[in-house]
Amino acid sequence: MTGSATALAEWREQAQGFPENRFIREWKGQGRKVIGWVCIYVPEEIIYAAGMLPYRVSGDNEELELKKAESFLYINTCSFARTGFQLALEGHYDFLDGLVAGETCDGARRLYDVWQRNRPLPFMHVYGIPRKFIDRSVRIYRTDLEELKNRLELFAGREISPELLRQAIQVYNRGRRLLRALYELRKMDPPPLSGAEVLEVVKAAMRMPRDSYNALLERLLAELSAGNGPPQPPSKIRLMVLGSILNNSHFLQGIEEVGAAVVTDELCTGTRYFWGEVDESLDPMEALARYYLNRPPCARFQPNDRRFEHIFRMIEEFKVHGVISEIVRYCVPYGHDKPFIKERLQQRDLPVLELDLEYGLGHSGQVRTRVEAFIEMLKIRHGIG
Amino acid sequence: MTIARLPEVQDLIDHIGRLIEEKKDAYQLKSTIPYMRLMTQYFERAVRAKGEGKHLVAHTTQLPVEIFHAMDVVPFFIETYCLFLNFFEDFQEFLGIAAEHGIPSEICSVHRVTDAMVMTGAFPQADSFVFSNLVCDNTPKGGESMAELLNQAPSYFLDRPFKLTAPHMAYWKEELEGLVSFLEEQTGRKMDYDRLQEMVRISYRATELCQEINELRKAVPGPLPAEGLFAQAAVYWLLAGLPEAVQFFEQLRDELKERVSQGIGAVQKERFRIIYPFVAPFWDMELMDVMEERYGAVTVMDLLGHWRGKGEWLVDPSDPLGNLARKSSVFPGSFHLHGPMEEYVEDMVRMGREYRADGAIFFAHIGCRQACATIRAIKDELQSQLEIPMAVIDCDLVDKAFTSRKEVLDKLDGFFEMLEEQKR
Ligand code: SF4
Ligand code: SF4
Repeated sequence: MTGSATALAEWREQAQGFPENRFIREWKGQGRKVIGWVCIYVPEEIIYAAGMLPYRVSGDNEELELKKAESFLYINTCSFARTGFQLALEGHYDFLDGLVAGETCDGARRLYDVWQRNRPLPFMHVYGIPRKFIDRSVRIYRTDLEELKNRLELFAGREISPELLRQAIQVYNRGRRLLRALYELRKMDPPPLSGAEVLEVVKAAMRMPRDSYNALLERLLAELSAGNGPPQPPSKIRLMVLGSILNNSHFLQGIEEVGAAVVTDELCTGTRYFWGEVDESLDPMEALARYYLNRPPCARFQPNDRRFEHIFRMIEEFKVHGVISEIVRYCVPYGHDKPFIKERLQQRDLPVLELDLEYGLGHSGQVRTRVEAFIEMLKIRHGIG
Repeated sequence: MTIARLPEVQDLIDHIGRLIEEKKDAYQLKSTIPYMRLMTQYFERAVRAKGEGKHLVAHTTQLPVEIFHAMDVVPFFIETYCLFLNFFEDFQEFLGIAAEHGIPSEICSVHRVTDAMVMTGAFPQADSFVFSNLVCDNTPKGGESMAELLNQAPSYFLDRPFKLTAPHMAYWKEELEGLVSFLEEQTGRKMDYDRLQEMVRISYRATELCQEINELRKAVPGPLPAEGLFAQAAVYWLLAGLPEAVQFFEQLRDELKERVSQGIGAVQKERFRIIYPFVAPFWDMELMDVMEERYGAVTVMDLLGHWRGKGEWLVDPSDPLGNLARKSSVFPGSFHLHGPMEEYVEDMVRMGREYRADGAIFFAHIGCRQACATIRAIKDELQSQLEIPMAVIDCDLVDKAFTSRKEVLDKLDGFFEMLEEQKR
């Protein structure tokens, strides 16, 4: 990852420090609180409007020795949940003042449960997330968001007024538009930024104050649009990555090094995190409930068609040659969808490479060999040298 | 690959029939044979449904089957069928088919097997399909797969909320109303609410009887032998709302009452009282008999028999769906596995205390993530609050190749030795 863009260089510098970074230290230095969130169905706007910094608990960037976490979370808990708790046990999340989790899947809710039991933070909250998209699901989800808001108000000692929520929505919507613009650039051939760099950019959104983030992203976009991005190798195989949460950009870097560009994704650290916008004309809590529940869905929602539709839209819009489906071991929601996605992709004559991984995996010889073979096959198919 | 003929529902019926013949004098409980007959009848109804022009509904676990019975459709409880068949058959063939289809091996084996059963037509083609998020990620996702594999059978998904406060309960009731509308649409018939009300009343009577039975199971020596452990759960799961369930529970209650009054225990000399904070060793149910004989260990209670509190759920008899929604908050398994962990842990401590357990055994089914994630907490609390040690046995619910009986017995030997030491 080399390049000359100044904003990009700044990104790389900002990205230093994990899980705690300089933004967190500055924020805490001002006596302000940081709230960790698990799963993208926790609206960051509500936390932000309470004057607290929303911070995504993502587990580690790297594969970890998980022995400590495993004595609390049985070996069959997905490695995402175990790595998150491992970091908590080692004190790396001690900067958090609270934790909010949505009951999205067995892994996420049990991560919350063991955290609460063994390492409770001053503010702990978990709530259910409906699995349907119908009106009554939005209603009950909103009820739960109201409860979250009430509890955060008590904890923050201040009211989260509709006005504050509106402002937060505007700030976050701006961030969404900027990220969307960044993805638009990825439609170019070659894209001006590697998939690995883009993943770092998206992740930063979840770890720093959103207004500073927006300013930085705006500069980066200006540089990239003016053609001042890092030089990219010529036209390549265009890949999409889909599946369970993916955090380690070295994994994408490994894929791209063997002659492909990752141009889009269906990940909760990618498009599913920022796609669409909160309707600013509605009552803010209603708007948040509708937006969050109706985003391109995670595999835990019913029916899975919506998820598949988003995948196919991405494939078409970003002119994808092949798909990498990555499933974190013991991730049941995504694991179940695997054969059905494969079938549907094959019907569209789209090759898919299925990888079952431990969360945090970076470069690995075995994966690399399989990716190389996959990309070679795609090159022959598309006559790309 | 040549595949041997895969077992079907009729095979299960035949297996149970043979067992009744062969073992009819060997059972301790008089109610065991009637229980087996009830199971046979249940599965026979499913086999006959098509021929009789009945609407067959395949469904997943923990659903209020009273609604199916009241709509006069024939329910087919998929996971229970899988468990029963596993008592008699080895599922390697089904597991192999699921693997070939690309279903990851980390997925609960019950769902891998049931997916394979659907793919191979190993149970009758249902007219419609009902599934829910009770009680883990595997059920909604496995349900969705099965609905698709069942040639896109019309399906309804029930979304049970995670917490059950008043607004969530209202949501859950609306979900049940949605199920009724779905069934009305599929069958072209209207729900007879008087009938449903009556079935809900009967189902509640069965709950009361289960509570009476559980009270009797607190006696020392424990009166219920291993042969009756699954009976209690299975009859309620399959037949809630039907008078035959009430008759069975009355018979079992009376029988246990008599045994308690005469001081008859499950084993000649009860040495250890054991609880299961999760499931029984379904892949090898004889292990429980072995534990009775080898160690004098009686399973005095398990998760699948343990209702929350007093198990009260009938609040307004004129609101059958509201009551059924409420039932989910006290029903064994539902609230343990689909809700905050602390409620599960507290209930297991209550179980240990009330049933005067000497030890607990957690059969850690590798496919079950939300149950296994509670192991450490349950183990710690049982130990610190009640000094009850807990053994954890790695296993797989229906994959018999996952662990051998010898391995399990080696571990159990060590565990019971330790309990013995503790008693001295
Ligand atoms: S979706 Fe999958 S990877 Fe993510 S927390 Fe749940 S089980 Fe783990
Ligand atoms: S055993 Fe566990 S994973 Fe399997 S169906 Fe039951 S609750 Fe779900």
